[in-house]
Amino acid sequence: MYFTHLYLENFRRFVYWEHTFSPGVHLIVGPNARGKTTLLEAGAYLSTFSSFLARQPRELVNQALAMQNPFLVTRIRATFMREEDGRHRERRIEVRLIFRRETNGLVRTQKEVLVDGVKRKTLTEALGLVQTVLFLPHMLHIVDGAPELRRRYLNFSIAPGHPEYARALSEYTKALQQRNALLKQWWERRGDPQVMLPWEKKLAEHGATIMWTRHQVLQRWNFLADEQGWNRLGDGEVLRLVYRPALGHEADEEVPMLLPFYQPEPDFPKSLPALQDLLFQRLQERRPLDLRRGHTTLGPHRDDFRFLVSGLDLAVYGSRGQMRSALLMLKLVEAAWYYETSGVRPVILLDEVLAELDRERRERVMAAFQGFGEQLWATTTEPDLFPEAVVPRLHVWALQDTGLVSV
Amino acid sequence: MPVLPEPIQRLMQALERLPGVGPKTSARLAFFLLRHLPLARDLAQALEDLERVTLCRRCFHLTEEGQAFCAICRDPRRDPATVCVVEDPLDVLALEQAGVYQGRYHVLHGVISPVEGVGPEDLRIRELLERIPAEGIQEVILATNPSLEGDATAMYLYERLKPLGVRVTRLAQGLPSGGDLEYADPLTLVRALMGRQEMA
Ligand SMILES: [Zn+2]
Repeated sequence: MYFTHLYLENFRRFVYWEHTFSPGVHLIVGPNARGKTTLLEAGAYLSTFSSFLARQPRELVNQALAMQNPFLVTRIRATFMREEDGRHRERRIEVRLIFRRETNGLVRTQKEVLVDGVKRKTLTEALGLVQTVLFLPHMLHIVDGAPELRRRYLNFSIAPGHPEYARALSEYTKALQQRNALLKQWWERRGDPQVMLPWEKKLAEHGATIMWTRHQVLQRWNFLADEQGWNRLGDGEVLRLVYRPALGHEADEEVPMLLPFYQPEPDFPKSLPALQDLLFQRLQERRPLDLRRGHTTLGPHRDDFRFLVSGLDLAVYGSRGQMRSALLMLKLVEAAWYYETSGVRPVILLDEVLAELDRERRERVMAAFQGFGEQLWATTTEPDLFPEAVVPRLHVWALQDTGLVSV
Repeated sequence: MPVLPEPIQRLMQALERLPGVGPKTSARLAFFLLRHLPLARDLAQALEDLERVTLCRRCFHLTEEGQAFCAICRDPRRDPATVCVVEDPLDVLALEQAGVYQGRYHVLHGVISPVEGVGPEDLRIRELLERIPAEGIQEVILATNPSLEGDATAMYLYERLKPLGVRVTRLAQGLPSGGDLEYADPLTLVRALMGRQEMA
């Protein structure tokens, strides 16, 4: 797929911004802090309806205008051509963030999505229409940061193509809040195990869907990386993603660092119903511990996955260069995987992707990404990194406050 | 110095506390009533009569003061051996509009939700369990909403009802997930009732 038009209104620093795009590679040049990353963020937002760079939707609303106005609408609107039944069809999407500051000072931001001009009841209904792969240097923390970042990352990647995963996540989160509330009230309310069971059943049902999908997806990602040779980092070193499901058999917080290359996740159930049964059983077994801690200590909200190079954890033993390679591999795999699962080639959004790479790697990376996207947006402060030899037929644009200007 | 007489201001403030009514709507409604005093009088009487609404002693649906049982419980044609458990009186209304259900009801007045501090003891659950032997009930249809909390409440009720030897069924799928019975159209409700399934 490729965007033909992007329109932004009150989105972050942009008040009105628009541009008409052709397919192909677009290089967006400009000094720092002018909104290059924001542009990529807007493109990706149309596929995830949530930003990797914002905790709260209100952060995406133009801050200066939000200070002055009690009511403000932010719009991200795009027209795009999407592969459907063997040909391209023109589709439209618009996400609105409706910002309100009430008289008591409380701030509310409500999200709405319109597909082809028609408002959808839920955001989930519109997931998967737009497919993007976003690379941000900031995402390096996926490799060496806290597990929470990796879980968030998995959710961002999986949800757009899997509405049932998105639904399970939202139901799981609600059930988790209910069980945790019950754990905290247990002693004062003379806890009744029969009240706990329904929530544990719900957690097992939705939690198993989440974990099963994560397990399948990570296995597929490893396969695709291996098939394309993207997992080979040079010097015979091989990168592998390893799922660490929080099923309660890990030695509490401790994760074994040394694992042979193709070792499967220990004891991972062989079917979704088996996983659901196991999770249900483990939740009941953990109840005494969970009661002492006051929260639920196992389940997909405690999951992790690791980047292993020849069996060693990249977060501990890897160089910055290796981490960057690992992240690039992940992005290429995602692009290939979106195409494989949906028949849609994602739009590739790359922020300063070629910095810190040597010339040979730059050529390889760009060639690989171009092979998977009909359209690619890259931002840079150094256009010299993208010579004709590396990227033929390149459109180069200078970023302005209201659009792009050809240079 | 207030611009409007005190009675109008009071009315506007009261109207503004209704869900979905902002300052502009409340002003518009207040001035409309001022120009239509007979309607305002009818409304005032209806509001006052609200205080006469009480709960049915058997099923906890709404009834009038002086009536121990609601209209449905008083109707001799209704099957006393079947009970449909719902979250609130609006669900009774929705099911009655669908027009196929012949049994009685039991209104819980909520769902289990620890986050909101609502446990089984805050709902009419003990009363439901007592009704089973007392009224010779054969089948309990659990018609809580197909939301997370509605489902969890149904599961809890199932565990409590099972030892009483009564048939326990749940409305069939087909209701929009996370949706609300009161917004489902009658045909969908009829299908959900007809296709109800034994819980396990
Ligand atoms: Zn009654």
